[in-house]
Amino acid sequence: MYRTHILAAILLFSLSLFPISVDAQQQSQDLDRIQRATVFIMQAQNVGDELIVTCVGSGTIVSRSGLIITNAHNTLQDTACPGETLIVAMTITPGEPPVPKYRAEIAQADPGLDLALLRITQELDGRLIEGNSLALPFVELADSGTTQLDQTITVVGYPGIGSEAVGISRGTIIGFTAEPRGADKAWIKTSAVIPGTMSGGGAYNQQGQLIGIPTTAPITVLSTDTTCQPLQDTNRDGLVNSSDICIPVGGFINGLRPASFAQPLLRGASLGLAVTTPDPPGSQFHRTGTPEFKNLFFAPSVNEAGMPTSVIGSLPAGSTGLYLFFDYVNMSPETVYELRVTTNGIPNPTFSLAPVRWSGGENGIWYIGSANQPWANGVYEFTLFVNGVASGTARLNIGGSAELSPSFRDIVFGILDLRGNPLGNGFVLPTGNVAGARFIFQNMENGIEWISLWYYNGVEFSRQTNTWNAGANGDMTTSIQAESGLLPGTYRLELYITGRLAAKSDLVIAGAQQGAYADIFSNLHFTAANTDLEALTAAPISNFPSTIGNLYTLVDWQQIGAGTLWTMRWSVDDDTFYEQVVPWSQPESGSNYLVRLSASTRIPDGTYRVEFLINNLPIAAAETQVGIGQLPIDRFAQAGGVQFRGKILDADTRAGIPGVTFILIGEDFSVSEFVEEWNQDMIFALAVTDQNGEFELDRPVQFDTLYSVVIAADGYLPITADGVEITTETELPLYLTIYLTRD
Amino acid sequence: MIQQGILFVLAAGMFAAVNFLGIQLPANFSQIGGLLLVFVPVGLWLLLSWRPESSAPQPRQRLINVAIISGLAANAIAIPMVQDFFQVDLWLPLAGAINRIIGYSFTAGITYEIIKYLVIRYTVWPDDFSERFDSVAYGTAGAIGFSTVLNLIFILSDTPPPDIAALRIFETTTLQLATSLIVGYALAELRFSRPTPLLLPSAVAVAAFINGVAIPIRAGLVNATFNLTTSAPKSLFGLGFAVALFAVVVAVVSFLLRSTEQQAREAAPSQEGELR
Amino acid sequence: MTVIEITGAPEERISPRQRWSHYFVLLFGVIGLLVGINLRDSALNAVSVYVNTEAGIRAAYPRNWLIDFGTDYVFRVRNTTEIGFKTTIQIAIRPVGANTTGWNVLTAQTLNRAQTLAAYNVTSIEPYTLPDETQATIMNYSYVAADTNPFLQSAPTAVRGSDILVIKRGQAIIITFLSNAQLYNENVRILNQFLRDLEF
Repeated sequence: MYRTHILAAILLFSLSLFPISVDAQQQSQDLDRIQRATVFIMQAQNVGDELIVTCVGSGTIVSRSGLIITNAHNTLQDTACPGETLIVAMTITPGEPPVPKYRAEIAQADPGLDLALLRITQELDGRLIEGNSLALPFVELADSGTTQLDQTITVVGYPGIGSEAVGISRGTIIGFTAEPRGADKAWIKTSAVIPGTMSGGGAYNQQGQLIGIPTTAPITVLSTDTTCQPLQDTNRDGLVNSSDICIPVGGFINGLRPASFAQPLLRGASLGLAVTTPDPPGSQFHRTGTPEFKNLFFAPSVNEAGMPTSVIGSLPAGSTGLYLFFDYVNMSPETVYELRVTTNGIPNPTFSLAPVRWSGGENGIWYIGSANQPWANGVYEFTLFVNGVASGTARLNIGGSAELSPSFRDIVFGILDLRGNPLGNGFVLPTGNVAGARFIFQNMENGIEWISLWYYNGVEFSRQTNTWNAGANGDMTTSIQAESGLLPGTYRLELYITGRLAAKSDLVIAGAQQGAYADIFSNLHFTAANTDLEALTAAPISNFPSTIGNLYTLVDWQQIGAGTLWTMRWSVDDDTFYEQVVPWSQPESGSNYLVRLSASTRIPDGTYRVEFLINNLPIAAAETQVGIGQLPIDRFAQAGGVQFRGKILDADTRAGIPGVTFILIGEDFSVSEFVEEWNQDMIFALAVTDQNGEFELDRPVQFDTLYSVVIAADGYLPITADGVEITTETELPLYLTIYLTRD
Repeated sequence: MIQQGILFVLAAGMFAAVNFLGIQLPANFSQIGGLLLVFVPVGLWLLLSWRPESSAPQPRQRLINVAIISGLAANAIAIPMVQDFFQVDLWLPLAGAINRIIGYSFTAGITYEIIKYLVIRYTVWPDDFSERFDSVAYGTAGAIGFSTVLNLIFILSDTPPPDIAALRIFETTTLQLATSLIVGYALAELRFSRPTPLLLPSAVAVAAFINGVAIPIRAGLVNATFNLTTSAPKSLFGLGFAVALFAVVVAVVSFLLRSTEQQAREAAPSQEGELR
Repeated sequence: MTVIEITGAPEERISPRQRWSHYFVLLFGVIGLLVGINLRDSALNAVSVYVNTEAGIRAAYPRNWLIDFGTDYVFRVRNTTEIGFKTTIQIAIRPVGANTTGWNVLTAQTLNRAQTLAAYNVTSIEPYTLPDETQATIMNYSYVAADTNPFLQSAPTAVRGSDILVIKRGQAIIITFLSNAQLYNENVRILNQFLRDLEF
């Protein structure tokens, strides 16, 4: 009996080992691929006849043709990183520092999100790379929405400034940070220790998919310290010291920008699409005045329009959501902001955010916080920093039972009906004489003073001081009226109870009244033309042929106040490839707001959709088809699988044979069928051996798929095989040694 | 036979030492070792055939001449013909099995056998053929000279490791010996009997065909089978094939020679009697 | 027993039967070698046929060369079994304007290639007559090719190429031949045979 139990235990143990070893093999494959796909980016400046490295960072290849995701702060040309040339270095030999191989250009960038998508365009010597001639190892982007607390992640990047091999850091997800751009998962917080130069690298889930980009922005480059290191003798005094230009590397990173932020950039770049609008990116920033934060307050949650549901001074024990709201002024994408949170005076890395680029607009309301995460009891102090300087502090106590003090919450705007119910979409109202708001109150006492304070574009517009007489709990309305009509623009309602801010929310008034809704954009349509001027008069088109190089969309608008934040979003086959939030800079009303969608060659087939949003709410949308209305299938899109590598040797000499072709035939064809036609379309992947006889296929091979192999070289007997299959039992990593025989 | 036996033991021993016992020879030993191995068949032939011959009462005088001229002809004509003129490397390895056999028969096979035949024909035949077994001796000499040059070219152009060199040297020498014996038998018959005029061309054709069959079959047996780890050549199959081919050819030729010799001896007394 | 050795005996006469035997061997050898030559030629000159009715092209390319179809060219065939640089033949069609000359097309080719190919150098541009007497222009050039895989250590190869340009039916037909420079003179026979069989 006892022996039976032992045998059963051994059997169970053995069985349990098997899937682990298979998973471990696959993960080892993924890690190998990830390391090869991780590149070192050097921004360099031509000074005379010398190329001076100005900024460095890590990056990750995300497409076979050489698109690289990295940070914007070390690749976009600005005062901190003035270089105009981007060099891509790769790990050629595992365990060794990266070797410069290519030059790249910025394909897409979002300075605020601190993400840039580079495209490898040239060999290191400056020769252009022909389209589709590259077949680089790459990684796939994960759906960041599926990331969870305590999930194990692997962070890969270059820990040095070019002299160290690619590094791996493992950790777990310890939290998520919420911001208006990205909602509850604007940042992924990790326990992994990540040096500053690994900024721009990649964080991966256990399936080897990219879930986030380690991101931090160096604050200053004024002096040589641990966050800025000299690399070259830039002043040519014979010494490499603090007198030379130093490379900003930043401090340690604990925030990952979710990969979903990069998805639109990747989609746009891989399709070669570009959107040109009358309001180009960055045009909304005037870069005058000192950036600062003010009016800090806390809210327990955020509504659909990104507004606080209420204003709180404390939270009960067991709370899982907390947001710090504040107004920002004079910000720009180059501004570096940071949040330091302490709990009972001790730094709290879970809720802090390392220095990062500002991803919002120039002026407005912002929040940072987290939801669905336990907040331990204690006294929390939140300190905001702008460019390394403290710019506002707020304190909050978490613990105890829920307060029963008077409160207001959940402000919703609308045209009020006879019963006081707000009609409309809640946060965008049409122009007219009146705008109303409804809010919920709790624990109120009759007789206390409350104030409703309305602002228009930041200036006080209406103040109503009242005495409460509506009882303890319920809902209440308030409104503003203007005989001459409410001007279009951004309005804010602040509600106070006995002088304490109790609730706050913004609304936009724009467009003509159409019932309770705002008629802002009209006559939204697509057309095709050779020039922008022709497009203004071209007839609307709903279906386009595959040959067009430009696609125009035009829209008329009315009653939009200057500075009103609005969003334009483009998608193809439901994948967003462009999104921009900008303040309105056109006249209040007009026609033919012209947006051009262009492509490097021609616009790929697909179903294209353009949407206009205000306060996160859809205002207008239109859809059109190009060609067959569906994107072509990319047969090289799959990054995962097994890397097929090996060496082809002469059986007589046992030396590698250079220039031999290794052909892997796709699952639909056999060797006999292939050798009848010798057609490239039958080939899954092809490789040619190098001077040492080494080869590697340019596509990963998939599990449980039957391939065929042909290795044929003049003077040698061919080796062929059908039914070649990689199974979970195949020993990985795969390295084939193949001997070719001569007659 | 003794010579090939020693060669076989040497080749198999070297292969086993390197591949099964893991004995590693210095890398710079490859070419020198290969060159030494190339001359092992010549050395063995000198030791086992030529030296005893020189002390025999009726020595075969031109064995060395045949060997040297065969070697020179191989280098000057056979190898350039096969490699540069027929360019067999460009089209035969990738052809189908039947085409490979036909192709090698009509290129390398014909070339090799015609050249070996011509060397013997115009150096020692018929003057130095005093008995049937002279064909074996001169055929062996021609084959040794011819195969030594083939082996030498192989070693100098490819620098194979000694174990592989030993195998290839054995296989090449054995094949050339086997085919030379066939042509030698026909030359002996032509010299001492009155065979049909088609015997000699037939023997050359058979020898060419054996070349044409042996080259692709040996390579086909040795050629690796695709594997997801190591697709290694099956070198011992080539060795076994060479041994089997040699054994069959020697047995057949030996039987034919002995039986015709026997017939000749049996016929001789009766002829004498008739004369009396 | 006394042994009498006779040396330096006069050469024995060869009987007619023996002589015919040798003649037959020589005849067999000659016939065999001719068969060998025929086998070689039929193997090395074996072709596959490609027909593109849309482009109006019918071409016979060496058998067992890998064919593919791209956006920049109508078709391309490569000798993938060749060790080292794969000899390539490609046909591309470019639209030409009323005033476009062959020189213009070749200049455009040169400008594009100079951006992507290392050490690209045009060696000659001269008139060329196709086997069917069609007048064409040939541009000979050379460059250095290397594998694009950054993880492999490939030695660069000097490549010699020829573009044969024919302007016909309002379009430029460019036949490109690329070969390892050292083997160009050997491989050019493939181009010549290709041109002999080409119909467009």
